Amino acid sequence: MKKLIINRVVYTVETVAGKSYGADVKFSTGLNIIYGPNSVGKSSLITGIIYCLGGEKCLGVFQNKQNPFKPEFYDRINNEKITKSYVTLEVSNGSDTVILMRSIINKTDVVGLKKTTIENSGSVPQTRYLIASGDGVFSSEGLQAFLFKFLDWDIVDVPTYDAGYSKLYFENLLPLFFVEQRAGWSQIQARQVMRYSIREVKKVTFEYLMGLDRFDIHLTEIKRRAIQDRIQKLKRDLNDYEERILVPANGSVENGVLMIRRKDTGVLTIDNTIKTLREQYQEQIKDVEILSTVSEDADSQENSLRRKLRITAHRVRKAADKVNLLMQEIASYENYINRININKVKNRQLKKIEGIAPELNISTCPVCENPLPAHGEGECSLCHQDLKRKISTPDENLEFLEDEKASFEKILDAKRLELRKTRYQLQQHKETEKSLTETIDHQLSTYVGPQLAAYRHKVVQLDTLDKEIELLKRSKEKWSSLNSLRNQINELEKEDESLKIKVKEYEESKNDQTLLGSLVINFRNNVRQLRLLKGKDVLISTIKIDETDSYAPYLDEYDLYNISSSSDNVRILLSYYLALLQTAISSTNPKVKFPNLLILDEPKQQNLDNQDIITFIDLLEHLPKNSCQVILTTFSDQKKDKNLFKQFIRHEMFSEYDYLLKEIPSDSPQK
Amino acid sequence: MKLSLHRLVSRLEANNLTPEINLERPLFIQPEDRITYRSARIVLILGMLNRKLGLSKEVIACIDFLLRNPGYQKKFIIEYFKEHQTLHKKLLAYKPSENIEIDFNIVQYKSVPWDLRFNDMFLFLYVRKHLLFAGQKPNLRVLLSDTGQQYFEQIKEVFIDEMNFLELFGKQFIEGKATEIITEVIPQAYWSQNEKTDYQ
Repeated sequence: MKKLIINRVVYTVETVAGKSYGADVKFSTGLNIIYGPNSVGKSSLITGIIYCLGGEKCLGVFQNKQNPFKPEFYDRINNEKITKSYVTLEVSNGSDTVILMRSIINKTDVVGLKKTTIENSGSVPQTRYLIASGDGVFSSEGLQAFLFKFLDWDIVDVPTYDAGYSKLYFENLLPLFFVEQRAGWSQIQARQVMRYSIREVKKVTFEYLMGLDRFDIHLTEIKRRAIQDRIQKLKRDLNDYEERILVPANGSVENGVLMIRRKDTGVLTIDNTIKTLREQYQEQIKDVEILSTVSEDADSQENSLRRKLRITAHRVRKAADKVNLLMQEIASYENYINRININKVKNRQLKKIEGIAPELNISTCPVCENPLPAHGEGECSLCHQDLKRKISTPDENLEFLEDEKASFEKILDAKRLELRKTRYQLQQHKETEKSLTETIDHQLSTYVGPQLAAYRHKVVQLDTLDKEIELLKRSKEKWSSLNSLRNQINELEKEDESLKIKVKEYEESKNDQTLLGSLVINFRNNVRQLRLLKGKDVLISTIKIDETDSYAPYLDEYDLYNISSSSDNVRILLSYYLALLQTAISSTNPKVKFPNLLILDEPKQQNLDNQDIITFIDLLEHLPKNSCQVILTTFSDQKKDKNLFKQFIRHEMFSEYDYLLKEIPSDSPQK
Repeated sequence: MKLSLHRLVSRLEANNLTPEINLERPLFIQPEDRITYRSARIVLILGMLNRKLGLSKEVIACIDFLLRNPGYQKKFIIEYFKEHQTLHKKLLAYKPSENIEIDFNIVQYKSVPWDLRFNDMFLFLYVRKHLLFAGQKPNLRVLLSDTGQQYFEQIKEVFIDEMNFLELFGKQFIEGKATEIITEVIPQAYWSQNEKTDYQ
């Protein structure tokens, strides 16, 4: 298991007047405190670390033109224009040490890499340039690819909300060991990057870094999706082939058997239809022989032809009407499906924002100021609405919509098939109409037709019957040739089913239970030390980790975040991140990828007491030496507090004018 | 069927388990009828347009109408920027999602597309300290508070299409023009025909 250790951060800034400014901070393993009052540059130091690791998205910066730094790092310092500014970071993974350099002005989408230390960097001339943002970050010249390799992490694809998959990025994993100061202290993984629309990203990243067996579920799901795609494609093909048989033969499928509908025989299986038609053929051959000796009255023949023409014309009109109606219906079904798709997008958005949406934190009645009970009897204690009325979650909505969409699509397919059949019939009626018109015209112009008409008509009928039998025979052959395709689909479906069972097995892994168990114990110990919920032990010992959501702590009977104060919220976060570190250190599972690093940027801005920070530092002191690194920025106005952790201060800013960047005299060796 | 169900129940009971069959379905309510979703869109609008001065409730309703019915967005962009030289740039930058069609079945509005639930949404956001109100009626302005701003930063990633549309208008949004397009131009362009048949 590789660690990530921050060794040193160096800022280099040069101005147009030739002056140099800079900062140089060295870190060691164990606890490192950056100490100083507000707005002198504690966070800028952290920003430099994150920026060199390409994690600016975790600082809320998403566009290349935005700069995560304050203007004195890239625009003007002491009223002088800055011409050159970059930050250099020395990191180690426990065995190798490298330096990463990234410019703060101009071309910022590349990171320079040297395999050396900052101290020796002069003697290593070659710099490799890595792509830090945009396409290619996972290529052989990409920063992401480098970082994953450096930390011995696998580059993985995970499922996304739009049924595709995305790479897991470094900035997705960073929120599990870096807490940013502005928005980071609001919830666990508050700065998680949502833009890759990775499904349940907080859950996935936790499982990845903590080496849970059930992370493989996500990989299996991708495999399943590929299989399901293939099944879908095969089914579509099969459907196409079947339709090509069904349309001309006017067939339908019942329990996998091809059924043929004819006006005179009704619905029969294809075998029976062929048999019946053959019998008819034999009968009619006899009729023709008789007819050839008998002649009929010509006038009645012509009348019967005209009647047939009228009936056919009527059929043509009816079929055309039906085509129009079907087209309208199809359009409206397509419209429904369209709307379902829009609603699906919105439900996914709702699902994402529900995780962020802050709950109303009310513990007393706004009118009478009495404390509110957690639940009234079956009704909301505030607005007296029925609690029993269960409203669907976005997930339930999505499931419902998916169901709805599937049934609409089924109807749509049926309607489309019907449309094609009706069009085919329309075409045939039109042809009959045409041939009838031609026959009548022919008889009128030649006067010879009437005598032979009946005979000719029978011969034509026989001919049609013969053709129909041929067509059905061919359809039957084609139908059975599709069996191989059907078998293929069956096999794939079986494979999909077996993967589904495998996913279930992952969920019950012993390794996972051990790791989560030790995480809960560590978390409970930490919150107890930090006096969460004023140290109520009964409650603390019932805290659990929610495996179904994002592995956040929760209580069965109360909403943990509602019964706690805003400083309690920070206590929960501190305890949680510390518990991750403790669990990773004590775990012997080689799959754990947690880098044994915590970067915590000013937890005290959120009303946390000085005492809590001191307790937290106490807890950190108990961690085995050299096993991890914690970088903490903080400040206390009490001198006695500072004395308690003086030994851990790596960099101190002494007053509110003691900025991070300092002028470097031109004769200094650093220059 | 009956027999196998009976066997299932008796086997459950043999293991000291009590079968409980719950046929209750949740009430399916789609995002457009959910206050969390709708109010998030208001935060989005306030976070993107006239952040410093705020917007009037009516303009919020107008923009929300456009986000709810993306089919009208293109017409709005053309009308809003028609005297600007940047119109073609704006149209190029506008990337609508695939499923856009004008829905002629929507409820047609008379003055502003006001939804009664807007008041609930403002209350929802106000009690969560996301909103501030400035000024007096009739010039009441709605603004995002600092916590609202934080919330906006967190949710903006989720609404890609909506952000793409709102980004087109820059920092200075001309409210009068927007209201005019929504209350005059769009009704006349799309459903004046319907109105005639309704009242004749």
